[in-house]
Amino acid sequence: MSALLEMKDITIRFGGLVALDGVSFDVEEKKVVALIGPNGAGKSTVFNVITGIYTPTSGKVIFRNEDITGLKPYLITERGIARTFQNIRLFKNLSVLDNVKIGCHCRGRAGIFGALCRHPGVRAEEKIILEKSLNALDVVDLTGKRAELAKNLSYGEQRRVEIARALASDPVLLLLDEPAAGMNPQEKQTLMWMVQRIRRLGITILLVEHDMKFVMSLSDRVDVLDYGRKIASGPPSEVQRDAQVIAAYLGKEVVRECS
Amino acid sequence: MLLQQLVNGLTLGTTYALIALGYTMVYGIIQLINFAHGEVYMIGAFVGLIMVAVYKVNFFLAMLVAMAVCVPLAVLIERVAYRPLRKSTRLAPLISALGVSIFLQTLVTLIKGSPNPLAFPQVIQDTVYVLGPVKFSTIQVIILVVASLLMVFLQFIVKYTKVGKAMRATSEDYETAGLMGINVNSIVSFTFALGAALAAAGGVLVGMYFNSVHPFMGVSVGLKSFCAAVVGGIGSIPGAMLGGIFIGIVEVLGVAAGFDTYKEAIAFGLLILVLLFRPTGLLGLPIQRKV
Amino acid sequence: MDAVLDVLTNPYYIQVMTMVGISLIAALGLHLITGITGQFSFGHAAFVSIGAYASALLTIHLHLPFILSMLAGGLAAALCGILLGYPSLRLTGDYLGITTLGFGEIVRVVFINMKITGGASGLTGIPRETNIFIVYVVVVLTIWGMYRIQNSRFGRALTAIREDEIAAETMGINTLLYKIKSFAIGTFFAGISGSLFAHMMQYLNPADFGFSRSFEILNFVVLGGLGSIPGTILGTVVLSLAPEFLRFVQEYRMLIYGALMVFMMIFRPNGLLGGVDVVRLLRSCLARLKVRRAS
Repeated sequence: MSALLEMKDITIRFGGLVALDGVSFDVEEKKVVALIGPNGAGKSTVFNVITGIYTPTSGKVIFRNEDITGLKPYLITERGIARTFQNIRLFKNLSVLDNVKIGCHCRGRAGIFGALCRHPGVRAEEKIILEKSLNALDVVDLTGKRAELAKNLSYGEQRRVEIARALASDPVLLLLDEPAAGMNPQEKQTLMWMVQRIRRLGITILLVEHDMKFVMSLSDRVDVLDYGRKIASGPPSEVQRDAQVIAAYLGKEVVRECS
Repeated sequence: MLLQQLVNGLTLGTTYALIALGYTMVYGIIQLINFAHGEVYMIGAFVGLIMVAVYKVNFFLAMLVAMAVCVPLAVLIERVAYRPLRKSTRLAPLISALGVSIFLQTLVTLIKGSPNPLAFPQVIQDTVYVLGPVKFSTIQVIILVVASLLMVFLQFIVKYTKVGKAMRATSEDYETAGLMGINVNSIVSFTFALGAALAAAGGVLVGMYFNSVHPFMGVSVGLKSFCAAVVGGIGSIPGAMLGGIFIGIVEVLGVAAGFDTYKEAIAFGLLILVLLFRPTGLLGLPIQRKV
Repeated sequence: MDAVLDVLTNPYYIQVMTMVGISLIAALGLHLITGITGQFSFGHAAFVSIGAYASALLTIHLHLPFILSMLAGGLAAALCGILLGYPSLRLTGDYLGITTLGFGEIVRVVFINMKITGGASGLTGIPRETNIFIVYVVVVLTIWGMYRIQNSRFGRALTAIREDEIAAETMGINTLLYKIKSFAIGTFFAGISGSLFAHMMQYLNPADFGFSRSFEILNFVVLGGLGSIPGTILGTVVLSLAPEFLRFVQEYRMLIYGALMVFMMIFRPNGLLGGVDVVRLLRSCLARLKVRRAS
């Protein structure tokens, strides 16, 4: 049985810069996998390649045994991959509920004619969209804020709306790009519970995060990137002790001094 | 014959380029399509005309006076109509620019008494120089020389002076330039001033070349020069020069080839073609999607 | 009472009100493209002219019933909208605006050069079919259609594109397709507006559809409050009537009009009704009234 998502030898160049250099890793079903590495290591680029925003120079992305390399982002979402963004990209002037409803887009069908005549099928679909959106908001404990405009929420709440919006698309795989960034310890703790809640829904999670406590207590496996290459992979406890990883974070001198 | 058309196209094109520079510099710095720029050019032409016809001054002096009038005018327009809107939606300053444009057209029509064109007095002895198969008129020579000098001067300012460096920094990143201690407001004013000076010179030169000055002359030429700026790659100074000359030559050749009734559409056709194949213009840098 | 009746039956006022309605239909089309989907279009008048000429020629030469030629005018404009939109909606922001502006000027020049449209001297002999009732029936239908579109899965996708195109695409929206659809609907209404215009004026001239008319329609949409239907209606009514009310200042009319555009933007950069939720405001007013009556 092959993994849910397989990254095969992904390389991507922007002009002269090699952002990813032959990166390969798998994400197994129902696991939480974390991607860590210093700033500029290429973590967000990995997300952008998976979700189709960038097309890799070479290599393949296989999702549920299907090659999705170079597909348009909306087609990839349809296949069951949803994401959040490192620098929040909500639809700021829309209500929280509308934000999440838009997340349901790829599971709906109603078009222009549906909009105009609102036949029973359309009304039924709207009802399902509403239910699904409220459920997604419930997962992140934001049902009470559904009528607020997204831009009026606090930073931590906005991050949670992004998660709800991603959940509304019924994903199989959820990509979280630094979900805990800018949150205080309490908010981080709540977020951790939420991620576990999502995991119990049977959704596989791939996350990029800088907060090591967060990463170590949540993930089943950690992959480490540095300068566009994968330098380590394994359970959190092992990766923590890996000399190369410590060198990547703290510099080679520190490792030499310690040993 | 073809060579002659090329010379005519080049002459027309350099005037487009002079005006296009104002569009491109302003866009480069505050991402605003300054629709009132065509009106600055029109007022430049009128001031030049008045100086020559009423005060009987020398043509070059008339051009300098036109510049001296248009520079504060453009700075004032920026101060009143654009600066308060710098942080609002993209469309607000655009509408404001259109308002300024309508205002100035009407104002000039009112002062002048009618929208009809005025003839530009023959101030320069128009001799024709023959160079092999090509004929140059004095006016053409003046346009080419004056426009080239102005463009060289502009390049000098932008490339080699402190204020030019500040302009480049501001167009690269408005916010950061401000944080680095550049007074961005005065840089924006300076940019408008430079653009206005070039447009005023362009207005006087074109008024003389086509022997006609009227309150709505800025509309068509303004739009075409703007096309030139976009074709060359908006925000790029060499791009505006290249785009202006390119559009001028194609327009003249198109008319010569019998498409004279389509003259007004040639620049726009070219614009759409260029944008479809090079979405940021001939010399514009490709946009990288930022996530 | 007599004064009211006088206004209601005065042919001049009826003509003005009909023109307001016709402009409103075009403005609502642009509202969908610019206000809802966030795409700049600086050539809307060109689509109005395409609808106008197409429907006029159909009634003149094929003697088509007005309702059919009006629909055909709308469809012709929408078809041109799709043909222009497919390549150019990949461009963003100002570049899209510039392309549509260029397209608008090209359409105008083409109509000047065509024989069948009467060229620069204009097209005459269009039967008069439009009246104020037809216009306002279409206006009501358009407003109703816009409300339905905005409050639907389709409309949400359009607003998502306006707010953040990359996020919209990663939420599963085929952004190019939706932008083209929005463009098609918006230009369709431009075409309908043009058909009504042609069969009211009974005469068409390409000069009436230049870029200044395009910017006038854009003005209607922006000055009232971008993205709001009540805003678009208010903007269209106020700006269409402004020249009428400014008649007493005679030759200073356009001077004041230009200055007003600048001042309105400076004092209300989001438009007259920008940031005001009219429906919610009305509801809360009604609720307050009810409370007062109860107590």
